Parts: sequence; C-alpha cells; structure tokens
Amino acid sequence: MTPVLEVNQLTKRFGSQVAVNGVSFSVLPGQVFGLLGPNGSGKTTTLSMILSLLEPHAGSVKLFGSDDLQAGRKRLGVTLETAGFLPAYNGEKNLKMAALTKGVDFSEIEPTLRKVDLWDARKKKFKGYSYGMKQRLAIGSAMLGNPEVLILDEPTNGLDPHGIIEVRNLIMKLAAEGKTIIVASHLLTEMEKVCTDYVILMKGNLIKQGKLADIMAEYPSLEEAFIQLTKPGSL
Amino acid sequence: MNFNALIKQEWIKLNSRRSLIFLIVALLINTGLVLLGFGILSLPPEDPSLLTSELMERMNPFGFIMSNFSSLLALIASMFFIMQYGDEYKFGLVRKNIIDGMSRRDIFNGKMVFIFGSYLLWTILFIIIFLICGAVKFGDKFGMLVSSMQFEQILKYYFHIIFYGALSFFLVSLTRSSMVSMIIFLGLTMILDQLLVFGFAYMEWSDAAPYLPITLASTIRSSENISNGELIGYLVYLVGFIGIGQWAIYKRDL
Repeated sequence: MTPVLEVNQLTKRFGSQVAVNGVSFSVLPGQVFGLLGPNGSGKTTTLSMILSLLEPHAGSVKLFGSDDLQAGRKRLGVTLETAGFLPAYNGEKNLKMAALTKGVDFSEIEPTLRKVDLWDARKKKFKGYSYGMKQRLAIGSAMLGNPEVLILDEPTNGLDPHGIIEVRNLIMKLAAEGKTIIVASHLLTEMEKVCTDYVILMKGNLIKQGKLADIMAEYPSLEEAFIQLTKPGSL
Repeated sequence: MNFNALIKQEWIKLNSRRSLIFLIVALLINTGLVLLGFGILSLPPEDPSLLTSELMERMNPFGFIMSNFSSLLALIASMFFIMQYGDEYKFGLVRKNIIDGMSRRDIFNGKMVFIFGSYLLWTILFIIIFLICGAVKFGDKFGMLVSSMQFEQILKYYFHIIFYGALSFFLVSLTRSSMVSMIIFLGLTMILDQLLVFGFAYMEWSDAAPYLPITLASTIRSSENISNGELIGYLVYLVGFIGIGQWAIYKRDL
C-alpha cells in the first residue's frame, strides 16, 4: 500500500536553533495519525514543511508516493492554526475563495456549510464568528472537494468542551468513512480517543512512533507515556 | 490553478464594501482634480491677448491635467493595493492559498494581473472622466480635447502609475505588512524625496536626479516631458521591483 505521506530525515533550522531534527515517518491510507508533542516540539514546523510553506534544510517529503507536492496538496484538506480567512468577508465568501483555489464547484459550499452547522451564519462576517465557529469554518474549508486526506493542526485549541466533543465526533465520523486524518495536537488525552497511530515529537526530535494500541498496552495512558518518555535522561 | 479562477479570486477580493468606498472616493477625487485642471485652464490668461481656447491649445489640456494630478491618483490606488495585499499576509490567506493547491507562481501571477489590469482600468477611467468633464465644461471645444489625447501620452501615464504599483508590490512582498509598507512608501515618496532634492542640489548632482525615479517629485513632474532615457530609468526600477518581489514570493518561507 502506497503511503499517503512519507517524511524522510526532515530537518529545519531557524538561525542556530534546530526546530526539527531528522524526523522520518509515514502515514498509510485510513489511519488517524497523531503528530503529538508539547508546544514548541516542532509539530507545526513539520506540517509547514510537508505543505511547502517552509523549505527544509534537509530531508524530503512525498505525498501519495510522488515528489510533486503541488499536485499532492490538491488532494489534501488542511486547517492550520491561522485560519487564512479574511475577517471582513463573510463565511460564504471566504469559502468561495477557497473553492476557487481548490477548483471546487460553488455548489459544494451550501452542503459544506450545513455540515459544519454554519449555514445560518453564512452571511455573518468572519471577524464576528466565535472561536468555535471559526474552527468549524476552517474544517469546512478543509473538507471542500472531498479530499482523501485531512490535516488538522490543533483542531481543538481554544474550544469549549462542547466544541471539543464536536470536533472529536467529526474526526471519528470522517475516519469511519475511510478518510486518512493527520492531527497535530498537544492534547494527549483527546488524541488518545481518536488516533490509531502516532509519532511523539520533543524539541524537534522524534522520540517514539507506532500503533496507539501498542503504547496503550505499555502505559496506562498516552499522557503517562509522554511523561515517562520525556523524563530527563530518557531523551 | 487556471487563469480564469485566478481572475475570479482577485475579483472576489475586490468585491467588498471597502473596495466600493475606495472606488467612490477615488472617483470623486479624480473628477475633482480633472475639474480643477479644467478650471485652471479656463482662468483668464495673464496675457489678455490670449483667448482661453488659444491657451488650451498651447497647454495641451490632456497632458496638463494628466501630468499634474496623476501621481496623487496613483498614490490612492497604491495605498489600496498595499492594504489589500498586506491583509492577505496578515490573515494567512497567502499560506492558505498555497496549502489549498496554488503554486507560488500563481500567487505572483495573480498580483501581476491585479497590478497591470487595475492600473489599466484606472487609466481608462481617467480618460472617461476627462472626456465627460471636458464635454460638460467645454462642449463647444470637445473635438479639440479629444485631439489633445495622444497615444504616447496615455502610454507614459500608464507607465507612470504602474511604477507605483510595482513599488507597492515590492514593499509588501518583502515586508508582508501593510503598515510597514505604507510607512516606507510614504517615506520613499515624500521624506526621501526632499532629502534627495536637497542632497542633489548640495552635491550639484542634479543631472543624476531623473535616474532615481523613486521619489514623488521625480514622478509627479510632467510625465508629458519624460525623456526616453528617463523611461529606461523607470523600466530598470520597474523590473527590479517586480523581480525582487517575485524572488520574495518564490523563495521565502511563509
């Protein structure tokens, strides 16, 4: 089976600081893959290199088995921490911009807005949206064009418990539909509930990867595993 | 991303309340300046033996109005472009477009279409306003007004304002901030202008001044009289600004 994503010895430095240090992993179709680690561990930097926003100093990325990342990106749906929506435009207009970029028909906008429960708020300006609504619009934008793979960066950040449950349920629903989902998050308890596979990053280094079931057999929780693995002296 | 989608996306960005307000303000200022120009032309000449029509003939109304007021209009258009493009960086739209499958080349092409297209529309708008105001003010001499419009002048005018567009593109691509770009833009076009004027006068290098068209004084002066050498100077700057802006889009991390 061809991996949807292959990351090989990816390295990124900012000045003298190494943000990501020789990270390698691959994601297979159908996995809910957790890119885990605390803030500043290199998750977003790794995603940014995968998405061609940052140029790696070393290493390579393949999407769907190919080096053509631009073609590969068209098969992804992505939400990053910065939503990328213009605040003075309403939700619908922002989605229209995304649809044009992705080459998706405008007829997909209505069902997408309904799916993320924003149809009634479609004419409201993005700056007037609550944090949860902004997050839902970002997920809606990522889902436009029915992409094969979803990449979600900190999708539950700043959400209230209801919002977190909504996002969790959405991830589980999409996973059940056979979508491959890559989630970057520092909320390990939450990731424990949705992921099938994981990598744990710490200070730019990959410290453990594998099946979630395996690590859960070894430790009582993902959080506990993380604490044990990142204890001084264990790195 | 195909060209059609690129144009549509630029249109969606333009199709906002802020754009409409800018357009109305710009149209009012444009019309006001054209009327002011006609007003000046129709003032009684110092030499009473010159009739208004003779003065108009001598002054070339289109060249006079265009060259004296075009920079102000180009400044307004450039401020709008800086705000629009700067916001795209500020709110992460450029990043989003890349991850949604646009290439960096598409981003660059979109901006070029915007600059060259919108300034072309601006030029056409200027001509239309000139003709309407001229018809109202000098209906009987309308033919003379039309004949005062020469293709070479229009081309120079277009080139003149494109220069501001290229400068704006260069600044936002490098700084990725509307605020910083705006400050540098105004600094370059106003403060540096004065410094250069004084500097060149002090050093007696006035002959070199036309080859530094980054200042308001050098661009605001009559575009009617721009020499071919100066046009080459503009072209070098234009290519330089666009080239460096393109490098920033293609090569820098987002």
